[in-house]
Amino acid sequence: MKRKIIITASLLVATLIVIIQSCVSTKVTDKSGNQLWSENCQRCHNTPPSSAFTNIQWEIVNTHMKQRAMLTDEEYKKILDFMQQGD
Amino acid sequence: MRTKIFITLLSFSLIASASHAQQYNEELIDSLIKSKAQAQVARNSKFLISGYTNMTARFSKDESSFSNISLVPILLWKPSEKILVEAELETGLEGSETSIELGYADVSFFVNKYLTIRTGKFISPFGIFQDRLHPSWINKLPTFPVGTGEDELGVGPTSEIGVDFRGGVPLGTAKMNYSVFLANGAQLITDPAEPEKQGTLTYGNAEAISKKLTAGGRLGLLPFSNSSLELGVSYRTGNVGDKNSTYKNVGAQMYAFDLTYVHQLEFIKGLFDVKAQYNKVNVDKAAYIDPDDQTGNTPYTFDNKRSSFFTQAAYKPTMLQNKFLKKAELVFRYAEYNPPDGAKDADDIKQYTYGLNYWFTWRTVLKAAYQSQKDNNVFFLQIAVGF
Repeated sequence: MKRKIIITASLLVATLIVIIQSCVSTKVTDKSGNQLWSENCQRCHNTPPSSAFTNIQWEIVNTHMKQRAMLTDEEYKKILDFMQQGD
Repeated sequence: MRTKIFITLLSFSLIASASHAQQYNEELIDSLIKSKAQAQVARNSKFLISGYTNMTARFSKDESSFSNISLVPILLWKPSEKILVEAELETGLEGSETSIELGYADVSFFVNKYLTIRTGKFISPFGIFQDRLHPSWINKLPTFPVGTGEDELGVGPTSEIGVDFRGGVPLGTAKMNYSVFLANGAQLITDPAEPEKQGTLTYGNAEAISKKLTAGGRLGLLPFSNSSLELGVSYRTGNVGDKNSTYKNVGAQMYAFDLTYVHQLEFIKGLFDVKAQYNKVNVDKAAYIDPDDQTGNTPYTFDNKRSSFFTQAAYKPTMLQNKFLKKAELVFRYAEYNPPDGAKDADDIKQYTYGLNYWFTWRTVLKAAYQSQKDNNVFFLQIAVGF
């Protein structure tokens, strides 16, 4: 039990420290597709390079991610534009 | 006479060459139309096969083997701007047999900026592990945390059959997401032949088990504009007893809390990734047939409340200059499972997993992990590839 409390508390404290370190506030409208791509993809998995898919495939993948990761409409459009520019 | 023969032969040859030319032109036009149409179809065909595959080797004191070989293709099709069709087929080897299971198959309608309706079989939006982290190329360890799988130790749903309303909503510099669903009920296992499963639930049932549908959902809040932190709460309620049995009024309420924190931090020169989830399932009290009683007539009951918890931290030094080190990743996970007091199933489980990953590409990883669990310590090697 002690071990569990120590592990959980350590992780919470570490998380709190880094949360405080990362407090920034910029509206989605002021962000680039590049920034949104980096911030949103890495929440679950590594960020894919734009060369991973063709433009049409990016449209399908991003639609899938809009539904699964519940991206906002603006995030979806900006990320898709950014990924398709690299094709 | 000679002139007549000459004219006749000339006429025949002219007719023959005209006919040949016509046939040639038709073939040429056909082939031109075909190639144009194929190019058009290729441009407009929004179909993609994605997915992942993995193979695992496990080494323990009593047994070493190559196992958990699976190939999971995901079919994605966007027939129009507002519609997405997706299906996941989980194929794998179980012993010498090949198993094929439908992970999910659903259609999503993008109604407006804030609302998507999906219907079919979908991954349950209950917590984050099953919904987002379970694919082997995403999961940072070769195993699932205890309590999050589809086995008898699973606490909470993994899939649903029904309809789900979901979307992402901006809230100034923050944002939220929601998912609300109506689905077929879970099924309560009562069979005394499977004492370890008595009182547990199965999910994603295609048939109506209980009279009414089950309702549930998840609400996620991302308070920071960089989306680094997400806090989620999930709930699900409904009857679980067979409508034709004495268990018809037995219900189950379940809830989950989850946390995600992922951010690249300058002072540690890398990506720090924390995930945590707590699941709780409360099933109404019911009398089960005691499997230990030979007569099969003695009922027994217990306080059917079970829970599970996991927390995972990972660090990847992505900001280092060294090309080898920046692709390495350290992972630690603690997980536990708490069965109901008085049930005939497993004891408490505490699981510690330590991992070291190497990412060859953004979606190809070699994982080495050591998992320590009471009397069951195993070393794993897994290769996972997303495609």
